[in-house]
Amino acid sequence: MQIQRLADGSRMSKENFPQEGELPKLAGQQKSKKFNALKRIPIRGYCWLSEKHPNTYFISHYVFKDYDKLKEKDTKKVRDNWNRIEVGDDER
Amino acid sequence: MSARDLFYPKNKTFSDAEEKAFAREQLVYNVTEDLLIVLEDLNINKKELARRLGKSKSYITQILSGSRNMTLGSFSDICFVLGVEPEIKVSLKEEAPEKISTEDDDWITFVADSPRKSSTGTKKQSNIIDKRNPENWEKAA
Repeated sequence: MQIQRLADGSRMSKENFPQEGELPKLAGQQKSKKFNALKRIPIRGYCWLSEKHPNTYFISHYVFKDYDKLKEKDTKKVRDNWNRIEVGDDER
Repeated sequence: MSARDLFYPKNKTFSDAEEKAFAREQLVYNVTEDLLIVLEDLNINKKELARRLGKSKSYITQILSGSRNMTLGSFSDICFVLGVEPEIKVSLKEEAPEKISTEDDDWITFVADSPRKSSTGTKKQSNIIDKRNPENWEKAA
């Protein structure tokens, strides 16, 4: 349902679609962009708005999460996937 | 393309019970999400909403998370204390078979900061059938 709403272009609340961690910077970029989380207790899906593909969100991965803090390993996984897709052009 | 295509095979069919459950969850999710956005836009937190309604914060949390059923009465109360006007649209599916949902066709939309209409005022609704008009008799039957 969250993905459907996102795909429909409807606004998402900050409560259920918060910004979580920072994405890597692209060359020449001054400020880091953030990735978001699709929040539905106890599941959280990490995603980012693509720079390369207009109007496209990529979902990095889902985690079972009954705590609020963002884990470093999840940030790393999002960044690795971001690098693979946005820089390496590998969408598989 | 539906978001369900991401999780199920393309030829997967759903039973009526599954479709009904999905429709219910979708409505609950979209209404609560719209209310959360109104709260954010008006800069009102759940504690303040609870105070205005004379309810506990946990009640508000349960309502807005969808874990507690929201009646139309409590939905109206929430809109009233927020000063927003709920618009509920019920339409026949046959009218737009190809179109599932667009921003303009949301079932429930909100207009923030607009004055509430007086209780005696009437508003023309597309889903209201005027039974005094004979042309509508056949349609309503």
